[in-house]
Amino acid sequence: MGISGLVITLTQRDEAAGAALAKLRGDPRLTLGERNGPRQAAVGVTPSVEQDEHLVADLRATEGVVDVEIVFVGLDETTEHHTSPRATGTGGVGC
Amino acid sequence: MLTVDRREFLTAAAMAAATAAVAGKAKAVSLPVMGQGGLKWEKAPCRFCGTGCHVMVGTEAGKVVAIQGDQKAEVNRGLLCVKGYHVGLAMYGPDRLTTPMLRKNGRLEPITWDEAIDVIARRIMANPRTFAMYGSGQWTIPEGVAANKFMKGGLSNNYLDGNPRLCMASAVTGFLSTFGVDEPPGVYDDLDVCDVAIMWGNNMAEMHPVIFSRLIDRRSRGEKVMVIDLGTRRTRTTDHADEYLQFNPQSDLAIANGIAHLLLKNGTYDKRYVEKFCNFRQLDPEKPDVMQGKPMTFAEYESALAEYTPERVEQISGVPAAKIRMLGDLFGRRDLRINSLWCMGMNQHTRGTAINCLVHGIHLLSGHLGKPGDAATSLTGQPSACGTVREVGTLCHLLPGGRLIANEEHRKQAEGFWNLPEGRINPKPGYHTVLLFEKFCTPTDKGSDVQTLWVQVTNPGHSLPNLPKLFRGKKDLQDKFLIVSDVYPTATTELADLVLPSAMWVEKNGMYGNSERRTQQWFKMVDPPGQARDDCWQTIAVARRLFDLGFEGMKDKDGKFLFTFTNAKGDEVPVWDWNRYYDINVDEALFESYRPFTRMKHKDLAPYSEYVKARGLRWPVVEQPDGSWRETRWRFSEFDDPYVKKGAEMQFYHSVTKDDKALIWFRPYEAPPEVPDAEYPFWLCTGRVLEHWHTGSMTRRIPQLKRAMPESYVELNREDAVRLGVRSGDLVTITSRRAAVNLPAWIGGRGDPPKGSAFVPFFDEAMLINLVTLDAHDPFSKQPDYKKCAVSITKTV
Ligand code: SF4
Repeated sequence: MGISGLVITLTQRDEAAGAALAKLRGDPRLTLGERNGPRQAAVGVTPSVEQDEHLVADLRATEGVVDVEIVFVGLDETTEHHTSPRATGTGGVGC
Repeated sequence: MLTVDRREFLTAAAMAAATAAVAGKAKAVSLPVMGQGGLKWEKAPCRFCGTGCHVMVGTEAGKVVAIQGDQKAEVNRGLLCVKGYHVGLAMYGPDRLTTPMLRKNGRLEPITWDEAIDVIARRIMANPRTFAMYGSGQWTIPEGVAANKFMKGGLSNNYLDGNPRLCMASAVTGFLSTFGVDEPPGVYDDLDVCDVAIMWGNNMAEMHPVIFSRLIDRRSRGEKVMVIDLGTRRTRTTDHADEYLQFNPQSDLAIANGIAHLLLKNGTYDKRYVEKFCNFRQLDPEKPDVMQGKPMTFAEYESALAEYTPERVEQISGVPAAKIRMLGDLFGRRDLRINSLWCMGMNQHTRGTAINCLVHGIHLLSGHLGKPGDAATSLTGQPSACGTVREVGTLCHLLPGGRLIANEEHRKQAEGFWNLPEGRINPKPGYHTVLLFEKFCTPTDKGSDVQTLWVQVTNPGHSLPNLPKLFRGKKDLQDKFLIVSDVYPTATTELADLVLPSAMWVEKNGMYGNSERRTQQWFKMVDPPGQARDDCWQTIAVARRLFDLGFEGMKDKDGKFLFTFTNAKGDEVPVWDWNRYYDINVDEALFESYRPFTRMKHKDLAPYSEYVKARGLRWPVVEQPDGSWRETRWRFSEFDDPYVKKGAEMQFYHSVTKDDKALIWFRPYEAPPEVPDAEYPFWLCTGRVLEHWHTGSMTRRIPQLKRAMPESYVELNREDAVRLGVRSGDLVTITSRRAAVNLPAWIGGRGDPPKGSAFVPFFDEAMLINLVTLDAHDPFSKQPDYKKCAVSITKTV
């Protein structure tokens, strides 16, 4: 489970900001909170931290969104662990 | 799985954080609290870089479950970088070291802590003079205090050095040469008011992103802040720069001299400031290895700079003469506030001391030092390079509080503070890092006097330069014994004979000291896994075993154990017994024993309890008549520093010349020791990336960060890549006079090196670029140059 507190900064252009906001409202992964000027508070909830990253990437790619800051990360106790990065060993050529 | 309760709770906490952030970053947020036994929030500094951001750590049922930027922290005002947000996961990699292990017949096999402590103590007993310790800017302050006292006060052995030698040593010698005392006069607040920010070989947007964002924030509010990026390759910092001035490696010395030359030639230097507060200095050609140098007159200084005309500087550096003039004009203006910022680019440099002195020099010459916004600021890479190594003095030539081992009076004073018999501290400084590892990798019968080396909280098998010589050489030496205390297996544990599992970050109490003289404190929040234990406990336990074995040095002059601590009732607490270690706050006891040292160089620290309340305090912290403790932001400036005499305006009260003046140095441009040639035609520069912290031993175990930056690469210039027939993703072989490494190429990626040069980040253990780098170092700071060596690059077949 990925839970993130987000600040989404919208463009100053009213029309594009309005369209972006409508898109954000329709995104089931997001709950929108207070807005202060171009800065919109939001919480993203996704089934995994990986999908949480996709959410942020999607938001950044949304027209009318200028910036996405992550201000809170809930850490899942069942975070998927990959193998140790040492599995490949230490490397040089002929060392 | 997350329980519904906790999910709801975390969602509420996430919304509270986001709401506070949109309302204004300085506004504090009230974090929701779960029911009894539920989630608990506590403060801690981030585990990673020297910026020293504070995080709020949410723990539940013995685990860290949430991280938030601390809205109450002045450093980061609620923000964190991508590493900071995931810092909690650094503790939960799948391969945490959880049991002590001894190498038997070539394999590491589990042993008990009792056996492990005994192995170390008996090796020391057998030959205390050939024992060495290598520590870290990630040591907490109390861990450094304990190690320093154990080695220098207990074993009478100065073979103790720390990894800030690899990252900050040239900044130290630069501050000492200029001001007579280490660490920056200014603070991060300078970023909030400067008009010009100059990055000297400094990719601050990636390496110190949270404080870099202060500049970007100001711009987004419509303020005018000019960012000048002086670099050897384009980086993310360049993307934000008004001016990108690309210079040839090492030629920053010529650029700084070119600015000074113009200030004199145009008469735009600050005459009043220079006359009142500065002297001039150069190295003595008769004694070029003496850092203090010899005085020079203003006329001599002017004549030494005469050759650094803009045209000559252009020839050396490649920066157009017109841009050198632009820099000279900026420094010549009194109406601007100028903040120079640097990190490894100026420090990992065979003339690191010189370039640090020159940058201080142009700020002094132009009077751009000592007012808010006018500052020369070195940034650190590790969370406590300043607090634990530079201040506590865990280097081979230092005692706590900036005192020197070679100085008899300083030794006597330390013996007094530590209650040691007179003469206990060995007057001979030990070996600096490069020499220490060279000795360790040299057979005993070939003159080496370092046989046993204990490494704590660092990964030299990955981070040292020229690894074939300085680390891999240990491999076949049967008489050498390497002890490593760490949290994960690393390139260093690979050659270890004894591995000790350590507690990390909020699994123990701790204190750090960040880049801006800010001392920070946190409490243990969760238990370490398995049998992992605090590094500080490990040091004290070995000291106690030596005491029990009758080692005289582990007694103070009254015959008491060096680390004797009592509880509130005055009863001695056997903290060497792990089960009793947290019966008292050992950190507090060690910190209070260290505080008297800090007053010696006006780096006064407040009592421990003050740090419990604060999000760090910047020294000198001085008690006020009402009993409160006041931190200092601008050192040496009368308006803020309590140690400056009334009416003095500026007072460099640790002045080398003992007249309260700082030194403006002349140091010439000198070519680097290894330059590209026909056989090795490329420059290689190494460094870091946003997602990984140093050797990646923690951040590469955080899935989000690993995914964001899975492996290392070499950045190539597009023209070079075309000529070599290399496309992004192709494997290339980088070869130096020392070794070769294969890496995938990245062209037009995050950074863009100029033609004839390449950049490799050093975080990836599977592609150890430090096999290739050079161990040439600055003659004064002894800091190696990781930023330039000559290599060949070929497409791997
Ligand atoms: S890594 Fe550095 S910049 Fe990032 S959150 Fe931690 S202290 Fe701040």
